[in-house]
Amino acid sequence: MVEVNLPELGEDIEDATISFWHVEEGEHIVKDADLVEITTDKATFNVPSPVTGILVEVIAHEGENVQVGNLIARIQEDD
Amino acid sequence: MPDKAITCRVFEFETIPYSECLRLQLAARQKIVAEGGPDSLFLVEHPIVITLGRSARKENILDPCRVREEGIPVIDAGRGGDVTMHLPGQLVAYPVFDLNRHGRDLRRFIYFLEETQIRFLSAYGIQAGRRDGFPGVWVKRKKIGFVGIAVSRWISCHGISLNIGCDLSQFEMIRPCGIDRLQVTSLEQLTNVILPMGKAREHLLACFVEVFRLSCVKLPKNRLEQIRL
Repeated sequence: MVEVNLPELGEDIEDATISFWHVEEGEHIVKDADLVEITTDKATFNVPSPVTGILVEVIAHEGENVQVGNLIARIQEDD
Repeated sequence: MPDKAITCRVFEFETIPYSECLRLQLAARQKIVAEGGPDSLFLVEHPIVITLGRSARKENILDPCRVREEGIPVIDAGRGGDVTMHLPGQLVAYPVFDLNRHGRDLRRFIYFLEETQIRFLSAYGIQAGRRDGFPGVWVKRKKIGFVGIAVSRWISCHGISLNIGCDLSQFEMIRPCGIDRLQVTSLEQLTNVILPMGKAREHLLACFVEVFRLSCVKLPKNRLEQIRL
């Protein structure tokens, strides 16, 4: 299982808000495709999927504010 | 910031519909994703349009009847920020930049976009600046420059708009940036200077070159068929 954390967005950015997930739990996603869109300040930022696999669990839901580095999802990588 | 200048293609349009320009930005971004292509900068003016950022609430369109009657398009823009307006007399710049080349820092990127506008305005004797907690560019308590970006794979889309000589009364239709009683201003209102848009584009480009250390290749104006995105 691969854990997805909220990535570093810049030196002074500590958190961001989940705007929406591009895929739902149980759906397949390929590596580098947009996984989740987050917003911070005047920017939207798409977090790419780190691997190809099934999005097993969404930890941070839409509208939630998340600290950089915190766990937001788990993906079961394809064999 | 790297020492070496970053290659950037510049596309200028006297006027281009919002959606069409967004399509071009996405194509330019795709080119970077697929081939590691160069950065692009679009310098344009739009026919009147209202755009909604991710944080926008519909009630920030204050006069929906007038918006409907006048047939003003309202577009979900997918960028950061709230509601804004583009209209003739406003200079809009869309940097489609690979932020891997510009330091992978969203806040710094936005800071530089604001800096570009502040430098531009200072040439006309306007002392513009930032306000804590309120992104964009301000002259005292009035907003003159707007910023909103969307980043995917560390490549930016959307960008900034700067009121040069637009009809400011049009902003009464919206609550710009979702801020109550926000007043907007323009270069023309502040200085009484009527700045031709061609000159404004040229000058803003020079400010982009300086702030982002670009080496620019200009593409012919208004010749869509020559744009090989």
